[in-house]
Amino acid sequence: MGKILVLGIGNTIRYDDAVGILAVRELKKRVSAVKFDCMELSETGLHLLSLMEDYAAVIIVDSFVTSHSKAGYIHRFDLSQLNGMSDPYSTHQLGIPSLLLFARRFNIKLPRSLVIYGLEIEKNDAFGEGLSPLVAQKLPEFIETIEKEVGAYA
Amino acid sequence: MSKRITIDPVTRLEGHGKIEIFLNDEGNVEKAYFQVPEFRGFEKFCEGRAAEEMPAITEKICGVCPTAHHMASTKTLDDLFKVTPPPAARKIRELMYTAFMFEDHLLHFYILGGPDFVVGPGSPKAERNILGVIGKVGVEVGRKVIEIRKKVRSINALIAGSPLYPVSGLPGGVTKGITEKEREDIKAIAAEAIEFAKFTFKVFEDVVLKNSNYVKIINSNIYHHKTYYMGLVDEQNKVNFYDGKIRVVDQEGKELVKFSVQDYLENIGEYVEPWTYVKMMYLKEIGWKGLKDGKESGIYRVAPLARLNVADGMATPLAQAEYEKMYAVLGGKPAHHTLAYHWARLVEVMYAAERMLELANDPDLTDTKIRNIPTERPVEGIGVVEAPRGTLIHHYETDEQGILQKVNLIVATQNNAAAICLSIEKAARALIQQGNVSDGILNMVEMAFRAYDPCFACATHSLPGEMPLIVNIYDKQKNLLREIRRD
Repeated sequence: MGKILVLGIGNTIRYDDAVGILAVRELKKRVSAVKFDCMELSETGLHLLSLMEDYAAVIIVDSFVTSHSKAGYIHRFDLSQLNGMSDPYSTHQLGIPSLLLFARRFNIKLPRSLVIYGLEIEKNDAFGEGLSPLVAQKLPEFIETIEKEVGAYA
Repeated sequence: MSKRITIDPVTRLEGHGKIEIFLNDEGNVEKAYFQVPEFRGFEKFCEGRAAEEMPAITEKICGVCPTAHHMASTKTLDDLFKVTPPPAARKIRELMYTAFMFEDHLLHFYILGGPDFVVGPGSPKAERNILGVIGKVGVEVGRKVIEIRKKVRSINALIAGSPLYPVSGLPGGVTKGITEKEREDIKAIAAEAIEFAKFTFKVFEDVVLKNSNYVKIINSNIYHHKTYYMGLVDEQNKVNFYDGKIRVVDQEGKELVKFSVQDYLENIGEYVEPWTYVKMMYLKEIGWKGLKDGKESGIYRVAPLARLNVADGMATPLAQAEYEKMYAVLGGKPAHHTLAYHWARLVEVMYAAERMLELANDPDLTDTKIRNIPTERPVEGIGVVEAPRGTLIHHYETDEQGILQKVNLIVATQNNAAAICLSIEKAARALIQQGNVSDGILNMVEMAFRAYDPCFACATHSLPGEMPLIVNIYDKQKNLLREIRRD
């Protein structure tokens, strides 16, 4: 199997929106650099597509704001669930489902496996640093959950 | 019965805008507003930090134009520390910036704004997106767009340390030079970019200019405003994205004023309307006369068409030829056609590609002296660049340790905010008659502000090019009469 990308998405100066990036910074210390590339991104869109094409598997770690889950809830989606889904959750421009549609239309190579983890957050609509207490409390569990999935690839 | 229509795009990373249209008893437009309802507080967030952090912080304001903020901020640090970068550093910066302008403009043409023209404003919603564009121009073109953007972004990755979030700007220079091998790689990409710009003009010619309906829409009075225009020009009054003087011309193209950015507060003012958090910019010499166009109103426009209107031409030959052609077709200069922003954007794509190659060939580019160390005590710095969406000004005041005491940003879309309001109201008044607010009509209203490529356009949240919308129509008592969803 080729290399695996663990990608933290978020904005480090929008409070809880940093959580995906913070999680990946911690995961970077725990996983093998030979097998995994850990990266940070504050934009998705077409750039994400060109980034993903070089990897056998991609794990995206992001923050979510939904209308139906409480802060601290851990969301997980895989490729099969994403197909046919509209772009409901990301605040980072072009959503993953649209990207997948786009990639298939243009025969752009996709990773064999794509998993998205999202931690439901409280606050991302203002500028500031630091996580809200509930999200900070949930972060270690979020990281461990992803680490288990990452372990399965190793 | 009076009705209220709200066009409320789903929030995007950089904040969201909202269009509100009020109908009178006859179902015609009484008033239309473009609102930015969210106060962002970014300037306050920056105060108390070291000024040198700003190039890395300001680029996180949003995910749309980080390179523009990084560059405006870096130039502001030059001014703050009173240090001039050596020739190689200046040219490396401009090369990186020009590459960014190329790929950002290209994204707008093919993905954000393209669906309006290439697919057509009245076409079904399901086709009014990038996939619809590709349906018209072919899958191969779609691949080419992705490929050339990727290559041009690699120039930014090489120079700036990241294709998206540059880390190379320092007061007085840049962090990293360019080798002769890297120069050769950049030259090859720049040459390809020129070819792609030529190809894009062919697409524009075939799909847009040869379609008389589209040309009729561009020329339509619905999308027409006689305003002042503002943009950066070089010493020969040619368009320049990276540096120069700010020039303002009037409705006939006559120069009203040309000033250094350090004098911006004497020339442009901010007016606060109670119904929006975005401050409306106006020319102090003319004054704020409310939301109206014409010679008596201080409202001005920025961004591609404004930049071309204020300039005496383009500094590169192919862009100059396209510039001349555009004005010949539009009936002379300045052009007041809001939808010609799309066309002007393509002229700038050509200029960006040619300028990339010029800079890649410049002997200074690989010089190893890439920084002058600041020695002055910081007090105040002001810097400017032309962002894809218009003139972008940063202004910092610090204590003697360089800790920020006051930050003021005049962002591109803020310069255009008043004009965007004018454009939306004019389009809404002309298009919405007797309560008829169909999907196609609302799209044509949106086109009036999408042409400006505003930062809060919210144009890519779902399929690229499609703007998710919720349109609510209320009666006088704010009871919901009907809901139109396009998300």
